[in-house]
Amino acid sequence: MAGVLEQATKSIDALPMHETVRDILWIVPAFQTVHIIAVCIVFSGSLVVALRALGIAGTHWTLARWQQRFSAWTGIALVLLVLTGAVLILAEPERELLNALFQIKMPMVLATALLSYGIGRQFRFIPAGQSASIGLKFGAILIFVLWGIIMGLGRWIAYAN
Amino acid sequence: MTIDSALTALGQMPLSVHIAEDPVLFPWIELIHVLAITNVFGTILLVDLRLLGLAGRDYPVSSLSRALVPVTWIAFVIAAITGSLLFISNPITYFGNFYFRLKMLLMIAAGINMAIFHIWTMRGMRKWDTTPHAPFAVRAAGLISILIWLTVIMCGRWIGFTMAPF
Repeated sequence: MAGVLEQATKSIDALPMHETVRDILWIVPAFQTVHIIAVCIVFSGSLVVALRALGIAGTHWTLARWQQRFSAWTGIALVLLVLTGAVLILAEPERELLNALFQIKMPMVLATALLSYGIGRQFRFIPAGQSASIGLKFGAILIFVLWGIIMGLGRWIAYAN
Repeated sequence: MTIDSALTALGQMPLSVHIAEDPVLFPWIELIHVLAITNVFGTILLVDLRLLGLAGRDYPVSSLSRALVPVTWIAFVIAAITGSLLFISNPITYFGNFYFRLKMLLMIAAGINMAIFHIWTMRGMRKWDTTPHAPFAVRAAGLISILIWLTVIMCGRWIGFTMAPF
């Protein structure tokens, strides 16, 4: 795996686009800003769903309704995260691809997105007026915590080099 | 006492020196700051999109506000505390940074926008609380809030690119 990532880093380094993206000073902070805004949507969405699952906030709508609303937003935000993340990798491939925290972060993103999708589907089957089971409440909190850890890994990539 | 001497004194406090010199404390505080600010913006965005009539149109504004404002405030207090800790680790450099100053001014502007909204605009809330489309002043407050907070996040990111932390 390390060899593949090293090869990918070398290939990206050889791309003319790499130098352009790296050398234009505003590109990385601008894309990082969009990246953070997309993170805000995913993270806050998971927080509101978790609070609703616990019956603490947003009780005017059913859990299924909240989930339905956020699944579309989360999907759009995840696409934005992938696109902006790709530009950030293009700018600094060594900093990202060869970083151990990045290598932990990426499978975690995939696993959390899948878990989020799976648990979200379960929320839709909860009848109105009925609260979520303990397992689903735990799942909602877990998703929020996992997105938080992923954010933490993303932030620590800057310091782990 | 001049601003420079006050900032110097702030930067020489034992806690400031500790944050600046500890190899992991600054990144940890920064991480908590980012997590908190993410939830501040995310929850504000939900309410603002509702005010604009772009999302959650059948959710009463008063109920949405009641549900999310406590979360926003908790996150904001955490962001303010952690932000202050980051600031005291290098106060002179932060204070001299354009994007830091802009961020602080925008946060004051966000506070004024929120105060105007709560004191004046919300007076007639009963008329538009459950309607999908709110009056112009309400939608304007929502749009201004989104634009301010987007720029706050942008400034936060640019601070990192225009100054070395230590």
